[in-house]
Order: sequence, then C-alpha cells, then structure tokens
Amino acid sequence: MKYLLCVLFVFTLSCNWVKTKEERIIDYIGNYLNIPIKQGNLFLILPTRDTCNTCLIATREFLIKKDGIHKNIYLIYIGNSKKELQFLSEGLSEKYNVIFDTKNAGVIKGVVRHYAVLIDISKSQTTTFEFSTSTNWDKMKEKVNTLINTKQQP
Amino acid sequence: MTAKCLRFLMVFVLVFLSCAEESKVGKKEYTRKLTVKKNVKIPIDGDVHYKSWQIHIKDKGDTTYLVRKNYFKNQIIEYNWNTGKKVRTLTFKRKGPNKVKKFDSAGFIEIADSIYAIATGRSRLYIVKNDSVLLKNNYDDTGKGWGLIMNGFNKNLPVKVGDELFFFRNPPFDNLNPSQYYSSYLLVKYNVNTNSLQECSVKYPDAYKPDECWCFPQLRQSFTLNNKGELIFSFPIDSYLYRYVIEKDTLIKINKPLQSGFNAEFTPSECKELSPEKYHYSLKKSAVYEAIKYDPYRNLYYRIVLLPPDELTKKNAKQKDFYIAVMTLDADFNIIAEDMLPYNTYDYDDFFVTKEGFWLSRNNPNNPDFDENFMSFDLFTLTEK
Repeated sequence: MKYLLCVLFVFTLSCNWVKTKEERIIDYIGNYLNIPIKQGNLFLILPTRDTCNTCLIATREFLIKKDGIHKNIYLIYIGNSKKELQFLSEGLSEKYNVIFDTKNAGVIKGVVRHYAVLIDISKSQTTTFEFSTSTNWDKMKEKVNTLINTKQQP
Repeated sequence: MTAKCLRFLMVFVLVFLSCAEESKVGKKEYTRKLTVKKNVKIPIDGDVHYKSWQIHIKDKGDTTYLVRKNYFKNQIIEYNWNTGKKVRTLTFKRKGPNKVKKFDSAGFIEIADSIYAIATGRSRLYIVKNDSVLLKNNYDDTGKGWGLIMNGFNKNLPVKVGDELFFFRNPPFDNLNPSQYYSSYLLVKYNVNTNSLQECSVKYPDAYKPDECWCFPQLRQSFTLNNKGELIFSFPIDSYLYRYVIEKDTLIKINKPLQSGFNAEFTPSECKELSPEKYHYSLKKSAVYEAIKYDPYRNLYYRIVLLPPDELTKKNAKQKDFYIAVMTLDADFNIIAEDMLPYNTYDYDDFFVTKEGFWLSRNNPNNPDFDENFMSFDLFTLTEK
C-alpha cells in the first residue's frame, strides 16, 4: 500500500511536471475559467498586481482604438480587486470578451507570473508569446496588432 | 525507522521554527508599544479605489477631513472622517483645455480653499480651482517628460511652508548610471507668488555607493514636515535620518543610529537589467526603511520598516508580503518603541495621522478580511507594556 501511494505520488508529480507552459495556460483557460478553447480564439492574459499600471492603461487605450478585428479575442485580467480590473478594462467589453480572474488564480497557479501572455489558437499551430508589460510594451503592441488583424484561415 | 525519522523531523521543524521566529523578534526591549485601539471601516462607492496613495488630513474645528486621491477617476475625494461620509469630489478632465495629465502618481496639495497645486510625473505643475486649470507650467527639457518628475505618495506628501510648496522629485529614468543617478536632486520647491520652481539641495546620502545598484522602491526617499518647519528625510537603505533646513537649503545628517532591532539587512541588487523574478527577489530579500511620518499632535515620528518575508524564493517573491514593523521616535529622534505588525494584514503605502493617532490601512489583498468595498483602517496608539 505504502509503495502504491509512493508510485501514485510520483506519477502525479511527473504528470504535472511534463505539462508545458502552454498546456498549463490552456488548462487554466479551459478548466478553471471555463472558456471554450477554439480555433481562431486569441487570449491575452494580463496580470495586474504589482505590474506597470501605466502600461496596462496604455494597453487599454490601444485596444479601444483598434479596428479591423478578425478574431474572437478574450482579454483575461487577473488580480484581487474587481473594481481595479473593471477600471483597467473600462470600455473594452464592446469589442472584446473581457474576463476577470479576481482570485488572482492565474498567478497563484503559476500560469502567469509577471508577464502578459498572448496565446493564439489557430488551425496550424497554437503559439504563445510572453511579454513584460513594463519593458516590452511596444513589442506586445506590435504582436497584438498583427494577430488581431490576421484573417483566420478557412 | 519511521519513529526515528519522525522524531528527527519534529526536532528539525522545531529548530527551524524557532530560528524563523527569532529573526522577527526585536533585540531591544522598550517600555512602550504601539497597539491597535480601534478599527474604522467606511463603505466606498463602486468607482472609488480601496487604496489611496495620497491622503491629506485637514482639521476644521472639531471635524477631521480625509482628502484622498482616487486614481480610478482622476479625482480628489474629501471624506468627513468623523461621520465617514463623502463630502466633496473634484474630478479632473483627461481631455481638453482643463485636462490634468498623469494625475495617477502626481503630488497634490491644497493651497487655498478649493485651489490645488498638482505636480506630475510628466514634469508639469498645474494650479487648479475645482476642476478648472488656472495655470500650467511645463518643466521638461528632455522631450520625454522626464526632466522634472514630481510625484506624491503618503510617504512623501507635498508640503506647504509659507509661500513655498515642496514636492518629491524622482531622478530622470534615462540616467540609470548609479553615480549620476545618486547625484540628482530629490526635492523641488515651487513658490506660489513668483510662480517659480527650484531644485533643493537634497541628494542621496553616502549609504548609496556609486558601485551599488538598488531597486526603485529602495531609491524612493520619504519625508515629513515637523513642527519646527523642518523636513525630516528617511532613505530606504540608510538607518540615519536627515534634517532639511529650508532657510539654509541644507540637508544635515541627524547623528543618531536608528537601526531597526529586527535584523534589518541591506543587500544591493545586480547592476544590470533584471528579469521580473530576480527583480522582486532582489527587492524582497533586503530590508527597507520605507517611510517616516511626523505626528504633530503628540510630537512623535513613526518610521515604517519593511523586512524580508520567510522562505523567499524567486518564484514566490512577487506574491510574498514584506513583514512590517513600526518604529516610534520621540521629538529628539530616540527610539521609544518598535513593533512588528501581524503578517499579511496591513498596507504600508496607505497611512495617515490624525488627532487620535497613527492609522494604517488593512486593505491588503492577502488579508483574509480584505474587502475592496470598504476603506478599513486600524488606529495605533502608544501604550505602556
């Protein structure tokens, strides 16, 4: 019995260990947030605690102005304060699917830590991009811009 | 074998716990201590943030007002502290001729009834009456808005002495070479009559060595105005306090060692751009003399000291809170108490002093009682042990 428990324990650990970052993100989105993972969906995950607020506000301003959106885009804001998440995403729900993780679960689960993460679920392949909102803001803007405007392959 | 292992494990855990406990116990015993006298909880509206980085206290007769920045809406909100009711809201515009740009980190101070001076992180100074901009000056010579970064937080609230307003100044971000950074001026004064702005002779003390780098929160000075009209400065990595004599435009070291009794150790970070994990780890592994606050009603100073959390790793550094200790000093800068506060309970950014004593916010998201729909403050007073 003791050995069986050990084996089970090691097995559970190894199962978690072999999960890639991408799989953990997909698991968090699909199983924790219950959002369907479909081709053509684009998820931008934004941790908000102890990050650059100015960058998050700039992200909001940039996304509000965005036109020609060809994808189903989910913006996942992670933090502890619903009010704060509402403030940071004000006006975005008209164009995007705005989701709040007010239990900071994405960070606690280690899905994201400091960086904003962009995950593109496409037919050919799923790609993940990580950005530091404080230092790589321009890079993130550029990537979001390209992905949002990319037409989905039939 | 199992029993032996268990015994060994128990001994190890006990030894570990006692060591961990020891690091948070002050070496020195004082006869007085800061204790929580009461808690006040005020409900706040949906568009008001639970936290305020800037709170001014205004006494009018028997009534105390809390003049508080609400960064969600570019607002200054005044609460009657006696009744807990909101009495006034000033909203600054984000667009048009009356816009106030970068209000979120700006320092503000009331200079006459409903007239405020606002100094911003984009090197601008506004004079506003209610929500109208009466005057706007731009002090930037870099083209990036970094020429004269002025901010205001509870740890360095703007102050008014006669016709002069004193604002916290951040060195320009594009000059991160430590020796040049440390030679920047850290205080500016604005004269309301002559409409002129001047840098004051306040620079980093010698504790900041040219070959050592520190994270931004370890570089942000705190100051407070005492009843002698002096600004008392505290620097995050230096146990000494400094007195800025306004008439002489001089910063003088107060020759009293004021080390925290809680094993406060200071370790610089690597002098290169750090990954966020390394940055947070580097920040949390070192103690910080976070803030100094004068209590004009009791002629005392409160100094907030932050201490590294237990079991700190690069992975958990962002989530882990510092331990918070509060040192109480008398008017002659002698330590009369130093107390460790309960962990994961308070927000060290959000504090103020009233006739009743020193108030510290309980709105810490790691606190199980955290509720963002209330401002919750504990009142601390000095009692005999």
